[in-house]
Amino acid sequence: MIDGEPALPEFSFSNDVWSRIFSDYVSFLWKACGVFGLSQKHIEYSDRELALAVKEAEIDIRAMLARRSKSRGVSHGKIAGGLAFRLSRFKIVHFKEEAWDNSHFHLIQELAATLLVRKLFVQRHVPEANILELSYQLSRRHANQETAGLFFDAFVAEAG
Amino acid sequence: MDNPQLLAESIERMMKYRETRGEVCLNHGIRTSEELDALVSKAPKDDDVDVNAYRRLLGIPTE
Repeated sequence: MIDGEPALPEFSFSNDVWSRIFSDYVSFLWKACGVFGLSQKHIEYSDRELALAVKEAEIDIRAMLARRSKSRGVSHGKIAGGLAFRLSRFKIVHFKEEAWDNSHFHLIQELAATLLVRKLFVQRHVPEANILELSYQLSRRHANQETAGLFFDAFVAEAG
Repeated sequence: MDNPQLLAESIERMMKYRETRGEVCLNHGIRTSEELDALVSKAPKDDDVDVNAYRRLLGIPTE
């Protein structure tokens, strides 16, 4: 705290982490297209929205760090949940008309987000059914950063 | 949140409340940017997504 003003803890994604998020996000976006049988040419994505989502996740993590004791930090699952939430909320993926008839296109952005954070932060197998259910939850129902984080925490804890 | 100052003040109020209630979150790990960097550096480079496993669950013909 400086001059009576409270401050959030210092925290930011390193350049390497930013680079990994961006490159792997695009890979998983194309993978999600493959899962649902959507052609990549029917999808566009916004680099700007992707960057804004990651910046917002940084603020979320700083807030979570502030709420915890400095010696214990934030779990891998909560970081995964925070980024998955932001990547599902910002307007990153845009569909051309040819994609509108695909019955799963509403899950594309969320599946890409979920696969990305599982790989980067959880680093454990999460069954495909659970990945799909969280993607649906993020897309059509409600899950905030920390409830999505609890989902991933459970798999980290299970693996030991 | 658009106003980091308001967010920080909100957290400070919650921390004062928590001083009387104890730690709530039991899952911990990453404390610094460097620790997160080290975690991500260990993430595998290869892609382990089984497209057909997802397709079977969704009733989509497999490749």
